[in-house]
Amino acid sequence: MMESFETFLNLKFYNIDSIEESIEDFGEVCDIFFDKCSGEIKVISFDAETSSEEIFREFCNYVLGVMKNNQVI
Amino acid sequence: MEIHHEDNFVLIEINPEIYLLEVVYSAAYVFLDRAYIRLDGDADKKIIVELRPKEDYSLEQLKNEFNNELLNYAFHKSQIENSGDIRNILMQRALFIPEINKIEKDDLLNEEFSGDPNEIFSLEDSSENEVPWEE
Repeated sequence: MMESFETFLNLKFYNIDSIEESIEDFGEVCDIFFDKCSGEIKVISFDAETSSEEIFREFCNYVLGVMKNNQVI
Repeated sequence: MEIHHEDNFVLIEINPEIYLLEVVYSAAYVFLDRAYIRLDGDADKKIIVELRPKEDYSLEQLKNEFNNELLNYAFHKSQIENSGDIRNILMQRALFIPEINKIEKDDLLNEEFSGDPNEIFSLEDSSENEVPWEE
């Protein structure tokens, strides 16, 4: 059974476009459901060895990386 | 500042009046390789940075290095702001000087050349110097 992890991202700090871009990139390893208004986020890992929480942490870093890249461009 | 040894993460509370959000982002970008970072709190009152080391990295070290990075970027930002006028002047000079030099060079050429400019064009246009493509 696929486990899920639910939490939220503070949208005062994370750019919505970068979040959406990151969700597309993470599409192969997990399902991510994101509520644009509340910032609530739910991650369902496809891989039994990698927990949804771990993927979420990677996801947060990835979003920051995308924001950095967009800023540089 | 809270260190949670049992859950292996550090919470750093930052006053945005001391370190601007821009500075916090810059410091966070540097730590993307070393730690999992999550930003929370209120951008106007209190920024909370959660740092969770990726590998064997002491929480105290992570916290101290992040604080140093904040200070580093705050200083960098203030230096950029302070030297902004000088940088603009230098940029303007760098962009305009070649143009000025070009104008001066053109003036010199005009002064030195006293022959008939049509002669130059007539030589360039001469069909004697032309080589067909086939050859």
